[in-house]
Amino acid sequence: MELNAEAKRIMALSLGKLYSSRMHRGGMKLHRSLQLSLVMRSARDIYFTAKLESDAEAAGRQPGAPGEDEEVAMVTEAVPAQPAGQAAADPQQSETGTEAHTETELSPEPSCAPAVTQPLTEAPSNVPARTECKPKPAQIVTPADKENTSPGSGSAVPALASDRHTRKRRGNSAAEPEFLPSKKARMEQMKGGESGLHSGSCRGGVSLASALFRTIVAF
Amino acid sequence: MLLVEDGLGICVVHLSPLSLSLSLSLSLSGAGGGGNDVQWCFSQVKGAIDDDVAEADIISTVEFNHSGELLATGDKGGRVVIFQQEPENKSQPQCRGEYNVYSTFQSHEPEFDYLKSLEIEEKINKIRWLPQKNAAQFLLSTNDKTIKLWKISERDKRPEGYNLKEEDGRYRDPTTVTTLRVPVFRPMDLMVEASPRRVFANAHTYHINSISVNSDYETYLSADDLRVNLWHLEITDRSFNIVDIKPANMEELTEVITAAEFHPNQCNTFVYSSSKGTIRLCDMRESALCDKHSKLFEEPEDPSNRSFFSEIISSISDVKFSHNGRYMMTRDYLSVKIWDLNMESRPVETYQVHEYLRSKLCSLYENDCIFDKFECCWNGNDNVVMTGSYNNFFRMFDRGQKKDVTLEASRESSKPRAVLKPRKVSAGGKRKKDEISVDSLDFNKKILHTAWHPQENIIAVATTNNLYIFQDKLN
Repeated sequence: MELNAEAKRIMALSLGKLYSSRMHRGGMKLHRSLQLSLVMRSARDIYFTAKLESDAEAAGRQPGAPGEDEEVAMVTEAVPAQPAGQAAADPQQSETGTEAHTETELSPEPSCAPAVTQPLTEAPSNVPARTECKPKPAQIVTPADKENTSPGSGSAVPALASDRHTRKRRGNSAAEPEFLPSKKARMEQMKGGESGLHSGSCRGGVSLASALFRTIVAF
Repeated sequence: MLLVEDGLGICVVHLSPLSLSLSLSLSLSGAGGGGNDVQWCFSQVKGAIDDDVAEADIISTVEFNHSGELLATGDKGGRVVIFQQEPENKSQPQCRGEYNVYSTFQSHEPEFDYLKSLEIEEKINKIRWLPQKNAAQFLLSTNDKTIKLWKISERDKRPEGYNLKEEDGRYRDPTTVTTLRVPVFRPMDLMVEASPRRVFANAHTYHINSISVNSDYETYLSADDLRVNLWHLEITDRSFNIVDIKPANMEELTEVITAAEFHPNQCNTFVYSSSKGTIRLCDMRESALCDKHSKLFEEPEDPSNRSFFSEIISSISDVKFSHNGRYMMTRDYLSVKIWDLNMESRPVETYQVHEYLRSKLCSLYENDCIFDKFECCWNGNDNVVMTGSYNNFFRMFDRGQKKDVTLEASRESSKPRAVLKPRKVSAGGKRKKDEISVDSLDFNKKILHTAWHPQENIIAVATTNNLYIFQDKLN
């Protein structure tokens, strides 16, 4: 559990750094943003590995193990499936385009769809596809698959059933972490303004940051 | 403040303390050392003494020119200060000339990108000298977005005795002109003028991290996070993109370019390093776009060193070819590696700079030190390499003698007749006398930029806002 706590702490720290790097003179540095996202991914992977191990020990073999709490979901949501070298490589996807994959796996519910992980690089024409309520069959991960899904494969693909389950629980839980002020409204504006724009110098970093913060802010 | 006239008009230069301060200059003949070991002595220190460092005075790059006579520094405030070595004093042959301020100018100003609502920092990221072709000196300086070619020229005479003008420039009343005289050049106090001859702008979307002059002395490259561009020194309105690693979807981004350099004598060859710890060597003759490398230098990761941070500490912060062009050196967070250009599978030599920091990576991540980009340099003979560390320590590795030394750049050791004493950091357990424990290292005092004179054993070491010049003890 120490490893878990450490992983969580590092993720929180990284998010704070990513957020504050937006205030730097000269704009966000792409290299720095990339490094922060790599650390977050390592932390997330380690967190999941440790979490799965402790779940397997503690809760027996029940599918949708109650061991999942809001923190797990937060961690899941917090780091989008990027750097999407892994997302792109995921063979389960029948959709074209990495962003669609990222999109659907993280926002199976329509209530979250508009706010969650709308990558800035995506053209506005894709928006209707994302708001559909029913997840596409290709993305359904059965509970059995969920257990077999290795967190090390990078893309966080929790079972949709349990994800819904955890979302509900998360709604009752404590508010989002204190270090992140609520930026939801501003991000909605940003999203409208930036979609379709050609990459800027902080493009990579901004899309990382925005995607991250939206998911957290979403709940 | 200083008013400097450049090719575009008069500009105001806010003098950096580096150019204003008196320098302590001492030539030392300390107590005898042993054998063939070089003993380093303090020579000069430039910059303000007070501990309160203005951000604009932070040194961001240091570079000797090809002869070593000139030493240029760039700072966060966008200024360039050039020091010139005084000619050797005939009466004191054992003393090398000291470096004094030769020219100071404002190279870059802060700019604002209105389209992206981003400020463009004026910090000088790199300076590279061009080889001297005539009386004037030329250097390239770059900030995050724009590269400039500066001409530094001396003026030591001026025309006097104009027929139609007074000495102060006002035109004489034509009716008072009764004789004809021709102006003649008369000596004047030496004035060093810096003027921007070329401005290479608008070619980089991301932040420029490197520039490198080609051995053809006609072209140079500039590299940002995702692209490398090739320029001709005479042409400012276009550049050729020779490397582009930007993925079609930015979310697929896994690595960025961290440094790039031309080969010192093969004008078709250059290398670029990545944040994943790989170096790619490219041959421009193969194709116009060098996305396919000719060689890929990569060392397999040691699985026993895995941690949250192992990916990011493998990022290469600097790459430098040896002078003879047979080797290249890379600097990552904890080590310096020497690569033989003929062997891609692993480096031929690896030197640990501060291995004791490996167990402290988490704290270094918290205080952002893990992101520090250290540079490295070769000596003129390619047998010693140097790089910086924390606590104002810097390290030298003698490749031939397989020896290394840690030295410190500090005001305390800047005493007359003091040979620099080797320092030691105790990794753990018992701390011997004179050793420093890892926990008492000052991580705010970092040496990121160092330079070695191309021929002599003279080194320039930049602490946060001071420039130290050391030289070997001459007997």
